[in-house]
Amino acid sequence: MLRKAREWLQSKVFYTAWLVIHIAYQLQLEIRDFLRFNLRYASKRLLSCFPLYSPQKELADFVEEVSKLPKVPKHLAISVIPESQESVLSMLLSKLWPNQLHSSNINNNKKDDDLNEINFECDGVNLQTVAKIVAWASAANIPVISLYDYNGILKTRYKELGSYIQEEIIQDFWAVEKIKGAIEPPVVKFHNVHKTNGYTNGVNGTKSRDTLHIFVFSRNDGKPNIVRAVKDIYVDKFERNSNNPAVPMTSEEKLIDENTLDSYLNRYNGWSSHIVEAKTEPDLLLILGNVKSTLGFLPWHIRLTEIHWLPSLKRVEICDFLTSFYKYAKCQQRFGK
Amino acid sequence: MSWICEEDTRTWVQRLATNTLKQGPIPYHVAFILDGNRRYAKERNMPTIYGHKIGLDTKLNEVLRWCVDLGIREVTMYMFSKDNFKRSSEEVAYLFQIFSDKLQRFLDAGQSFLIWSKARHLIHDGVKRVAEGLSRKEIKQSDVDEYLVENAMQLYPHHNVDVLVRTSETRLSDFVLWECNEGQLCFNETLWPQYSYWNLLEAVMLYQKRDFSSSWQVCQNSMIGEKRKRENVNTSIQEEKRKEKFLQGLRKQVWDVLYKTEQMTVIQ
Repeated sequence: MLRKAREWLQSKVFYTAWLVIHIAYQLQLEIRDFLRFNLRYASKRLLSCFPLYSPQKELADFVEEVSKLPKVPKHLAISVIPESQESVLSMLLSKLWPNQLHSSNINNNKKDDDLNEINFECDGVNLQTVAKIVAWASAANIPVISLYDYNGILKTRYKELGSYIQEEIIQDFWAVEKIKGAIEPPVVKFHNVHKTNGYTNGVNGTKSRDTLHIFVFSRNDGKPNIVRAVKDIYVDKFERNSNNPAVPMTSEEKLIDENTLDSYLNRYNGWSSHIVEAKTEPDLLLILGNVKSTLGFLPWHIRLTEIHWLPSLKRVEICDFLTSFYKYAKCQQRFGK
Repeated sequence: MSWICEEDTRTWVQRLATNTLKQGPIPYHVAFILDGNRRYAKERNMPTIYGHKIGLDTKLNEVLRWCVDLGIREVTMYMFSKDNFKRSSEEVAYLFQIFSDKLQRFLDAGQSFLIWSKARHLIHDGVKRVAEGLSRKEIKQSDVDEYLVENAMQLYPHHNVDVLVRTSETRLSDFVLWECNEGQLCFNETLWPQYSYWNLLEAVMLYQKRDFSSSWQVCQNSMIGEKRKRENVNTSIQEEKRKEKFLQGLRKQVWDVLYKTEQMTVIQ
């Protein structure tokens, strides 16, 4: 009896310690993130009173620094983690008291307050911030960008996103023009989206203009596409052969190797052979948020991709982007050697 | 067990921390990429094989012991790949010496093990096997789903990777691409021979911390929703039986081929 009571007390003490450790860890992360962002913001406001800082100078410095790097990704993937409307504290409280209705009340009030404001957010994804990040990547001379979010919000809203991206690119073009001597902003071309009229940012680009290729992915482009490839490979390689015995397939046509699967998956992704500036596999994957997972991003395509984490959408800044590029430039792919 | 350090080298603080973390979910399957052995040796002006000795012998045994203490049930280690044959013949010969010594001790202890090939190769194998199964009419097109492709890749059914730990680099290097696609990634700046128990506890902590992360919850809710949609699709008993029969036939076919070679009980 005494032993059972002791064991019960021990388990309660350990459970409380476990909860305290996690609460403390999560809170310190949130506080650190909050302080870092706000201190940076405050110092920028202070420096802008003197001619020491301006967003334009920051952008120009970014473009110049990136142009000096020995290695810049040619195909950049950006995984966007949607922000939850629920605060961390209410979630932690719900762990302690599971029947707490506090969090759902907070959510409802927030929705009512947002009705009268222009809301760029769609289910926790701020499209203007995503557009800003794409514009930074374009300013860094990255020709191919893959955008990813688990739920496919970006895929659904790609037209709206496209117009924001175009605005941001035009707004930032002065920095690229000044440092690299570019003549015109690039044409934005979306791939792997449902196009009604063939969406290429609404502008008829000339052949002399650079193209910024943007691929938009969701969870369904990952493992489900590999499953889809199985069925298509069966139809193309086996069913077709048995339906036309008079025209037998060559051994090359019957071959199912890794290149075969690769070609099917790239076809589903909308990859065109005209894109020569970069490979189908991203060189660098940036995950915007503190979720340490690729969350279903194209498993076939990330075998050699560098993976970095940046602050969440609402906190990410151009200097974080630059830090990631510095880190990428230093990394060494040894390919087994 | 022959691969596992017999002595518990943890301090009392580490044991206390372990008992605390065990109050939460412990990852079932952890994968490790053992990177940094050569750089470790270079930093100490020692030959490369010294780094491999420390990393693949001492440290490996220690980490496996820690996994047992934490209650981690499955461990996968990336130790060598086909690309590593590009290294010097001396280094490759030494690595194989370590492996054969370890494998022999493992076999002597009557333990089972599995050696995986590269992730893309595995995915390709799974796809090809299912496509061939469709051509032999063993399964129907409606049977083909992620579960079937995943199990066609894996000759021995195992749990997906919950946590992938990699030391010193921040990429997957064609390892567990399918299995860890929605798992936790824990990239550590230390070199493998310097990997400590606290680093492993941190990986477990990060795995448990997901439950407290608001962003993860948003994705988790979507994942659970997707999973429920897939489960609610009405699969008939015949479909289930067909799939299981196909998978069992597949595994038997490959195991028979391997046993016939009578070389090793290593399976791919």
